[in-house]
Amino acid sequence: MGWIDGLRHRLRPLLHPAAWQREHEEEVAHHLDLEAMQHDVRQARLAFGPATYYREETRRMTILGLLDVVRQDARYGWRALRRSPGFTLAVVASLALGIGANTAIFGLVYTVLLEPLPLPRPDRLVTVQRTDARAAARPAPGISGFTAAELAVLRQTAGVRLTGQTWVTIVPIEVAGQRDQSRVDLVDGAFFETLALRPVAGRLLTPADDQEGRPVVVISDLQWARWFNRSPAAIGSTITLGGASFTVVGVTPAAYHGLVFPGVFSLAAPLSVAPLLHQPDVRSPQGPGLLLAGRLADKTTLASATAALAAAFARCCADGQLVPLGTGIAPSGPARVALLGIGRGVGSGKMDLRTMFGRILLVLQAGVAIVLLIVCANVGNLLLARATARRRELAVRLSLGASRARLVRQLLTESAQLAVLGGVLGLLLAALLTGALIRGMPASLAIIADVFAFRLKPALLVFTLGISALCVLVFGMVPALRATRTDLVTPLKEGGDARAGVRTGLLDRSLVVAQVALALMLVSSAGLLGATLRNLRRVNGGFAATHVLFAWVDTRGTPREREGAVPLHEALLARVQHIGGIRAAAMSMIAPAVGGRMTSESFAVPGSDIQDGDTATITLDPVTPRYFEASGIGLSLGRDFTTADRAGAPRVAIISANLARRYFGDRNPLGQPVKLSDSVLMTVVGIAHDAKYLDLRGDADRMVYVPIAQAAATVWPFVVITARTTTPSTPVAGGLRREIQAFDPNLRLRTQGVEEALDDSLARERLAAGLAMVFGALAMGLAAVGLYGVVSYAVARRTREIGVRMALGARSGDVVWHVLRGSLVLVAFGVLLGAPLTFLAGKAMTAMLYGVGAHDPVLLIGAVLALTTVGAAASAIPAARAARVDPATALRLA
Amino acid sequence: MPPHERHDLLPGTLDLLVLRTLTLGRLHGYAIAQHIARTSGEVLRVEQGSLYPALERLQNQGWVTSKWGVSPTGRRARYYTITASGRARLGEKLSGYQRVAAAITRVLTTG
Repeated sequence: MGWIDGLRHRLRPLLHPAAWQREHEEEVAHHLDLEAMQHDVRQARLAFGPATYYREETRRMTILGLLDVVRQDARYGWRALRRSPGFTLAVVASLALGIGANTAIFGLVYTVLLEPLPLPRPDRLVTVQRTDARAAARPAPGISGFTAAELAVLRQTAGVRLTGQTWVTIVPIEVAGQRDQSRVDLVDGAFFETLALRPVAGRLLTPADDQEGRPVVVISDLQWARWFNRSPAAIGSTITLGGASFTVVGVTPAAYHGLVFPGVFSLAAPLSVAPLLHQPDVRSPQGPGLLLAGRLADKTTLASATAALAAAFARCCADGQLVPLGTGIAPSGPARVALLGIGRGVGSGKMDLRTMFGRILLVLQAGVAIVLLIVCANVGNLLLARATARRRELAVRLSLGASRARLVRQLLTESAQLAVLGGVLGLLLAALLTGALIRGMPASLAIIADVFAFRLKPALLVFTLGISALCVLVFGMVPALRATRTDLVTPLKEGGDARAGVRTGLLDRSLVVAQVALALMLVSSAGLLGATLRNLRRVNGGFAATHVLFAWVDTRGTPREREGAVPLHEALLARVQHIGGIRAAAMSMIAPAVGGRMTSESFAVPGSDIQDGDTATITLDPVTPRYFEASGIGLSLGRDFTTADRAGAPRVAIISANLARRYFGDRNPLGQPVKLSDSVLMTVVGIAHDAKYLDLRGDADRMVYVPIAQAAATVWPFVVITARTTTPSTPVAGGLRREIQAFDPNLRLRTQGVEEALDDSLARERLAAGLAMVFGALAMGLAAVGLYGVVSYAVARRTREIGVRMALGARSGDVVWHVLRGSLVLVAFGVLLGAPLTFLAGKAMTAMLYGVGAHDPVLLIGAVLALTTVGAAASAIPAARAARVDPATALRLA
Repeated sequence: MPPHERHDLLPGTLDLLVLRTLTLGRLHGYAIAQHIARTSGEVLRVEQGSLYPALERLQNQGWVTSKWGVSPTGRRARYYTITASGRARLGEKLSGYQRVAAAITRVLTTG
């Protein structure tokens, strides 16, 4: 194979430079010696010719020669760039802005939407999804619990290797006298083997650990750093979890954040040690639900493994009522299972980050891509102007014998240098921007902030490199070709030709028109998103939007966890009620604006002819008395719960008005029985006003409220205290915190005012509107710069013409208007081109908008006015310059 | 100035000469130059400043390969060998050259 030999030969000087050099010298010496045997030495040298010339010529043939040329070009280009710092700064700064914004957003898109789990062959990883007949067709990513017994049966299925872990468990941890709380994943023995995760130190858990119930634990890289300063001595040391001693056996890699996305991984212990951590034995029927994970065998398809698994499940488990409460899935028909690929992690349920932020991130990515286009147009324009200014230099080099290819390569090298500078600065900017975005994230997402932190991942670098290279190729190539196509005579003549730039004028004007069009699209999109945010802030959710303070109280990992919520709420609320500034306080599982633990249940009214079937799900909220007063939701009919509605007393419920209307119509629901999926009948004692708990955009949630005291089994160990305050809530928060901490310092606690909570619930909309406005402003600024450049250039070129006009009697006002009119025509073309784009963008964003149409005329007119104003302002400076042209000087310039 | 009168080679013919010479067998650079000089009756003297870049170029194309070996005098020398694709190339170049040479001769000799 000739070409392979050739390629190997070409690469040799690069791979073995020293040997290559030595061999050539040896060859030369050999030649000289042989020559010298025939003639004398002097003659031999003469015959050989100049040695350095020969060496250079040989080198030029090799790859080193090519590198020499690149190096030369780079040096020359660098000097040329340093000679015009203004140009360089303008190009590098705009590239940095465009590349930085794109890299930052792409970093988020990659993390949230694309990044695979940091495990080998992530495409073969699956989870088992519990579905019912209705959802079987299309299982949604989400949470399904399975018992250890079910896992034991299901793992016999051929074609897939199954394992499992518990959902979040939080326990007190003590290492070398320091105490804290930590999440622990209790994992099946085969867990890490199945994932094929490799430890960075020590070993991971094995089936033997699980079978023998060894008190061993694997820690995350973060914990290793925190507790042990990454010392190897950590392996084999003892830590205390929930009061029991555990031996650290290994460390997981920093990239591993667990199977759930976005997730947190801290510690893992074998499933069988659950009792040591005061958790129910997972092998008992009351054990916690397991998240199942598995790896498909090499030649098995998802469909065939699902079929096998579903069959096994139908034989063993389908008839049982095994759907745990709180999974969000109402059983309907026989339960089924399906496998779901989790190459990018298990979704985290209703508030799934991908569902929440996927669309907005893609819209933002499109937005920054447009910003980049505008940047590239600007850079292209600057390069064009520069190429025009350098026509003489290039003509001289061409006439001295430089080849056109060489000059194009030279100019492209300069563009590449600009792109590299812009790219590096862009990466820095992206890191800063990402940091700012993370700081703006709602408090509820703080725990997963680490997932989003800016890291130089290979994918990100490839992306940045790619868009930088694209900028160079697209916007460096045209000016480079154009500048070197020049004929040699015209630019060499002193003064050049005033009409030489006519053709360039068309191209740079088109670029400005495109910029204006794209900027219009971004500005009006920002307007739509801003209006959406404003409208959502004005929505009446049916609850008090001021003077309310929330406190999350979490008993997990403390002795109170087992007592449940009932004694806690009585003791705690008694104290909280008396804090100054608090008018009413209550506890609930979830509260409007802040959410909480959602529990969906099926709902039925015995004897009612309304059959909603599967859609009759409601949200259950166990609450204490006075909740409706504290939250501001209020009752429209009937009575509030009282302390008399305790366990053992007749079961009562308060239902929301929309539920009452649906099931009772005009009848009076008070005193009527209703029933949840647990089939206990409850008597309706009150009707609450409608409230929007989770989504301000949607309809009010259908709610069933029950007294916490009667729903102890359903209540999770974390609740929300809602306190109605008489003053703005912030000053009261300190008093509330002190009171709760005095009550029990072990409780985990977080407080937030309702205003802040509402802000957090609009995090997505704020992110969208905020960034869109930044991008819109950026686009407008860049378009203004582009316009300024083109108009200035035109004024400079037409100085003589303007002089003639003035000499013939034009007043400076006429000249200003003449220049302004030119730039307003460009803006007008941009608007004409941009309007349809704007409609398209609005249409694409319809699903994200609220209370504003995709084609809102007022917003569009506003955006047009803003752009026109900015455009006029940008051209005012060159216009004023034109007006100051002195006819006498201008005419003498010839 | 070199002591001999120099005759410029037609562009591209150096490759031809080198490839043709190498069909005789493995040779080092000096031997290639010597062979060309001798067989041309000392008319064509290949400048070493052209020979080695040409050999470099021919190797880049994969028409010639080289290996270090030991010369009859016991010194290390780089020996060049023509490859199969080099032979094919030589054939093409040769027939092309012969056509051109015949054409030139016709032009020069036709009254």
